[in-house]
Amino acid sequence: MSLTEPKSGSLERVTIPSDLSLLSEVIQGILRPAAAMGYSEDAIFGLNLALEEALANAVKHGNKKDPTKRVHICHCVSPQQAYIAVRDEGEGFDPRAVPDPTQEENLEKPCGRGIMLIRAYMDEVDFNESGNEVRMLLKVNKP
Amino acid sequence: MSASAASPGRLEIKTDLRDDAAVVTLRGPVSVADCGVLRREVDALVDRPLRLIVLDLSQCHFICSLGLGAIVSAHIRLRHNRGTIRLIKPPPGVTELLTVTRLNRLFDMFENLADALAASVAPKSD
Repeated sequence: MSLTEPKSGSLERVTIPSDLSLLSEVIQGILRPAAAMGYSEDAIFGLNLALEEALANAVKHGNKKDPTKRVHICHCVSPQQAYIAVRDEGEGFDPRAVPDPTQEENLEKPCGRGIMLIRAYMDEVDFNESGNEVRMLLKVNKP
Repeated sequence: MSASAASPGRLEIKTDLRDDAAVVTLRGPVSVADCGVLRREVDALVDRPLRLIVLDLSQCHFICSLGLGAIVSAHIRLRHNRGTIRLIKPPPGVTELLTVTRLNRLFDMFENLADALAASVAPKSD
């Protein structure tokens, strides 16, 4: 992985069981300080979306909603950038094998848009080799 | 700060039945936890069946991909019954999201309810 944890700033770690109903609290715990730091509505929207997609993927696809498996979140929000890492305890997958949901033949598929949206709304996205961890970076106050 | 992803509130769904059409108004964010409710509401309408479902997204300031998937699934099922789903234009963030996903190609979008109801019944062609 080329994207690494920030060396400065306050890194926070949260671990939750594989329960979709718990995602909102985790997400709001990251969005509230971002909003307080003056992130724009566009930035908040993108951050919210990437978090929803990454966490939902971890619970549903990574951990198969197994209540004994956990999702590990690491985040660091500063006025300049938001770094988030989401790791599940599943076997992983190959993100390169996910079909492009914007292709004509895939538009009417009900799922498969999550990774594309993460890449569209975050400035940097990286997966570990096994595919069970995604790291994302959103830069704010860009020139 | 106006209603936004940083002050989410909860999703409210209001359905108004009119002859062979339904207007479904979404107010608030469609997060992962809310998608099941949205899916059940829309699926129940598709099963009636109806000629037209107007999804009023004008007060929907956030929707995740699972929420989009629920709408796409309903669109496909409704089309089998020669029905269609139309959207009332959402706020800029969700409008942009529909463009990024290219789902704006699947759905006719209208500025208001009157226009959505008055448009001819032919579904959007590919």
